[in-house]
Amino acid sequence: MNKTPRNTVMIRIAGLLAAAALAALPAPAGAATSGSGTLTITVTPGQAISVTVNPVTLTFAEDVNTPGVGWTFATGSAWFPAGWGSAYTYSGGAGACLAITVNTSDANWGLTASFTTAPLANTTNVALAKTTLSGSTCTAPASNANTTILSGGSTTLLSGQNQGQTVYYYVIVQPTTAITLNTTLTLTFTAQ
Amino acid sequence: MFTGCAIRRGGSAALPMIPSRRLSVIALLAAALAGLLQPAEAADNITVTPATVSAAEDVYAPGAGWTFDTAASWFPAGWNSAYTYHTSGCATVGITGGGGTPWSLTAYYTTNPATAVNVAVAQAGVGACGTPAGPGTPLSANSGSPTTLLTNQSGNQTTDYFVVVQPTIALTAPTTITITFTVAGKSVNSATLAMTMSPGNAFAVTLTPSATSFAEDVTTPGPGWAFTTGASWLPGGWNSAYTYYTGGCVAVQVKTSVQGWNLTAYYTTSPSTSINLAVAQAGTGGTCGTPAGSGTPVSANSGSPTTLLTAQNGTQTVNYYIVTQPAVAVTSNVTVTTTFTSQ
Repeated sequence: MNKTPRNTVMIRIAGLLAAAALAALPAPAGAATSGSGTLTITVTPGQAISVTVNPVTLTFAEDVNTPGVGWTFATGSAWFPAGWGSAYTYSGGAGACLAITVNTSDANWGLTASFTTAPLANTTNVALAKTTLSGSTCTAPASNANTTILSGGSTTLLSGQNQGQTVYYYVIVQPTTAITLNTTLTLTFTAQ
Repeated sequence: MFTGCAIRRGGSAALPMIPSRRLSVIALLAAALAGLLQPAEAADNITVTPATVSAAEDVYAPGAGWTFDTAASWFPAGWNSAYTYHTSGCATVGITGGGGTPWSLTAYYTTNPATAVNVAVAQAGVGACGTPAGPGTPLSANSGSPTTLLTNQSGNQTTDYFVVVQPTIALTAPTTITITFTVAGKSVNSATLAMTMSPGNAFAVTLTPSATSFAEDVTTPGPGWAFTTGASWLPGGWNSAYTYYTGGCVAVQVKTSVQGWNLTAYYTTSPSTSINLAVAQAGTGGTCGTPAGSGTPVSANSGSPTTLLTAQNGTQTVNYYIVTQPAVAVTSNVTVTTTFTSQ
């Protein structure tokens, strides 16, 4: 009778047992087919928004003929607020007009402006006409659609803005009296 | 002329003398047999010590006798990461009784179950286990065309080897890697070294630095950070953000022998805050330069992380600019945790 040699049987059994044992071996508890590392960044509060105005000072004479460099007196301009027949405008002349730069990474911020006059209050009306920079000069607004009259309090110029940007304005000043003393007009821009 | 002989079988007792005619036949048969079978060359005796070893595919703790290295003089050309058996001694291949007949040594390896593993050996000395003088020799995985390690050798020789194993996948089950050393040019004789490699930490991801902080302050965000507007490395649509780069990059080092791995990332904020995060690759190795392109926004969803790298091989260090864009003015500290995963 042809029998399978006993030792062969044993080897096969051993082989099967070994294979079964190998298959049954669990992966070590620490086994990982991926690896991870973390970077922790702590963000602390600070000056999240900054506003820069350029230029920071301007001067003009209440002089309908020669108000000064960068200024013009006009009896009618497209960017004047409705009802304003005459006013002085700072356009920057050969340079840029008033530039307001807001630096932030924040989203949905707004820009407001207010003004004061000293030493006498309520001697001047002020408006801002939003424009754009083209090369080194600002483009004359074609209409007063983007012109905002500043009220005595805070006036909203922009809303829903995202991240940093620079906006340009013509500054329109309308003294309501013939001033006899130097008058300082201070405009404050706030982004938040 | 034979008149008889004594045949010993195990013990020492002599058998009775056999008649001479029968002895003549036996003598002839013996002579014929001697002609067919050459006297056994002593080089036939090959041993490998140790015969079995075990290791883990674990870059932190591969096991006694093993190291994981990202560069070694004994690695074959093109290998930047592998596991080496050498700290408890070498794998010693002993060949004795070589006589005057030249012999050669070949080797090949097999894996069980079949697994993507590269194997090499680097000769560390003859009769001594030192540092290999040169790069190792990759072994063939084909038993039909083994790799020749030594040729035209003679006499007794004990050759010591570093054994270099490079799993190119992350093992999920124990794998036995068997190297078969064969003395060629003689009556074939072989010896094996069986290495069992178990799954472990096939990857290690290290970030340098691992922690940093900045103030959401457009003027002075803090050391290493700058508030950047319109930088080339900002992702599309981002014009303002805080970038970690002025003091160097964040280096993401992945240590592994695995080939073809990917790197992903995601981030979380605590407390939950509207903050965007991106990374911009600034170089590899020791290079931290201006990123060549715009950054990649990172997912805030751990379930669908952002893929930063694909098909990478072995150990790599990738340097990043880290770009963070708080979309709100934070009023208290916020922790942004970015998790980089290789797999």
